[in-house]
Amino acid sequence: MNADTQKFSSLPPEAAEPKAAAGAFPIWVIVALAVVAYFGTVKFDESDGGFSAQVFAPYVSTKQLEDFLPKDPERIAFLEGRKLYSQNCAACHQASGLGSPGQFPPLAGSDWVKTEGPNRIIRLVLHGIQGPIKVNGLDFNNAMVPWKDNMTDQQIASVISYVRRNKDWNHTFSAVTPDQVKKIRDTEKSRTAPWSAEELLKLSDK
Amino acid sequence: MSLSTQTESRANAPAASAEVDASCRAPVLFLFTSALLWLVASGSLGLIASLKMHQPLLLVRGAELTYGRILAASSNAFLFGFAAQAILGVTLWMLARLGGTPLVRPIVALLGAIIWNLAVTVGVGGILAGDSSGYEGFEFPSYAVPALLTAYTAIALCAVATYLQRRERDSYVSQWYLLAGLFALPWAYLTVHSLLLINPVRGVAQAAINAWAGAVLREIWLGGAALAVIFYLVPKLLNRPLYSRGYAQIGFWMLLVLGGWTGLHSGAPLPLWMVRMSSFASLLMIFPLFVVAWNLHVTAGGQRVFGADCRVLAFAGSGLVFYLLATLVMAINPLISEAVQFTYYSAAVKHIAFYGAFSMAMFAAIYHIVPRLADADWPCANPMKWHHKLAVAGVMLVALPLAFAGWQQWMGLLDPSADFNQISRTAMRAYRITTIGEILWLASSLLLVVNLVKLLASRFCPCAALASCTAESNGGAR
Repeated sequence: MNADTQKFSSLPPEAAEPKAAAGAFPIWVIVALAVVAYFGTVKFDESDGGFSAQVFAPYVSTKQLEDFLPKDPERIAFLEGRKLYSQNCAACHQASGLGSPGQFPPLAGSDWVKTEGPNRIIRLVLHGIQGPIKVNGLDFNNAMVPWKDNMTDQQIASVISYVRRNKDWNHTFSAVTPDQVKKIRDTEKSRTAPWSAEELLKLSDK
Repeated sequence: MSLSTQTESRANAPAASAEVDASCRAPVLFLFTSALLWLVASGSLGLIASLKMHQPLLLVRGAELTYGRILAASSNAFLFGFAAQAILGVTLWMLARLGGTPLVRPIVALLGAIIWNLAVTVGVGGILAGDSSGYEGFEFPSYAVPALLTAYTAIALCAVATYLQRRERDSYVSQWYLLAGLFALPWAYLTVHSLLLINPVRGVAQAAINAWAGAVLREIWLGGAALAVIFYLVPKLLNRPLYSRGYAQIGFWMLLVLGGWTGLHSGAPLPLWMVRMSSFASLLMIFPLFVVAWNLHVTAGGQRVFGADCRVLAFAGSGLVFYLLATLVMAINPLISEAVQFTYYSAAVKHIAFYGAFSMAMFAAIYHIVPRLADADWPCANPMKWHHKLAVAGVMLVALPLAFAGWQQWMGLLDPSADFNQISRTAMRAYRITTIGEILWLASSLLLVVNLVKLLASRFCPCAALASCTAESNGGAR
């Protein structure tokens, strides 16, 4: 190309500008790439620390890091209680613990929770409650299901402790132990019907 | 109807190469000449830094010439004095040539190049005066950055406008790499500038950003420019089409996607997933590496590229070999980086990438392009041959002793009872050899500068009869 201009140039003529041909592309390169990418991702997934910004070498998972944290039984029970609450209780009583006006009574600041002992609230959770109930001066009339067959003593203790000691709700009442739950479960073994508010109020709160 | 079609096709026909070269003459010759002067400046500073490593009493007059400032000044003069201008020169010329269109607004590019040189001077002076930003590869003080950005924008706009006005609609591999590099540099630089200097992010994110930006410069900007030159020169000088466009595409896109992720060392003080991701990306870089090598191998069709008789091709071939070597070594780096992370080994790899792969490719481009712009062949063939030999020897004599010193440090550090000072002293024995390498490198750059000055003088200064050696064919213009 451009023979006219090259004639007057002091440089020897040059080849045309390069072009790319459509040379065959071997499929095995793609296959090899896919294989390496697959095993690389698997390996990466095993050792990426779960994309956590807190995992640094030589540790490989957040679990390893948690094992280094000091163990606080009350904290662990609180976290378990929070989890159980959000799974089982928050649907009616809400995550805020305020319930729904006219339908589900509040737990946060509730005079049924703020008792000195957990005597009534354990029974209430174990067997459920039905009929009219007065909470903080407001009337409710609804039913709460029994939890005795769905939760262990440990779980009921955790969830009630969460409700009674939740700092967000300004609750600082005594925690509930699994032994307390077991004791009441054994005492009320024969009971199948839900409680009524009237029955519970006859019992001592301790 | 047929008449108008004919006129149109004539207007859109690719411009004659002489016309393209004439439009590029002023800005590209200016960019190349100043790039080579900065290369000599960077080499001189690098030599002083290398000497001061084992002769600490040399030049101890003031803070300006302390090791830390000299080394940063040398590497920034290399990156933004030499590399940036060489790449911009290649970009302007190649986008115009491959697009078959004259350069758009050469005067704007020339003005940009002049401002760029002033800004780099201010930046290097600022580093020597103690205003370094402290982030590796981006040490220029903040006050140099606005002028750098302005100058770069001017030149880059000319390049992009030239590409958009191309009459050859099908783009070629070299154009992809050059355009990617054109955007990669300001992207990385502005990220560093805004997230580390103007409004600094906190904690480990700083180290991660600096590492990412460094990788973008190394892999996409410098590596991409080297590949652009090699992909242009090998088919051009052998007069054969590039074997496969598909191969080239996968190599290009993998480099673009993976390039910025590479280069974090295992054990770096960063969250584990970043380090692992980087190791994975480094490993995958073997694919673009293989694809590039295979594509060029089939293109050459048995003709020699590395060690070719044609000097330009020999430079391009050396650049390719160093590029493959550096990328391969970086790909296996995650396996050994826990052992070599605090040693001279990483400096050796970086030297091969910057001075071996990138610089050799740029020399090939300069040797190929300058005679076309000046419309005169190189006056002397011998300096070209010696430049090649000295430059290769210079790179090897820096990289090999550094790698050996790194290996000695590695072995020493494995022994918990070893005295750290003793380890450093042992490694220093090999380090002294790098000074010889730096001298050879500086000498080789001077040969190119002298050759270029002779060529320009004989061509543009009528009174100078400097072209004394016989103009035997040396392959520069072939």
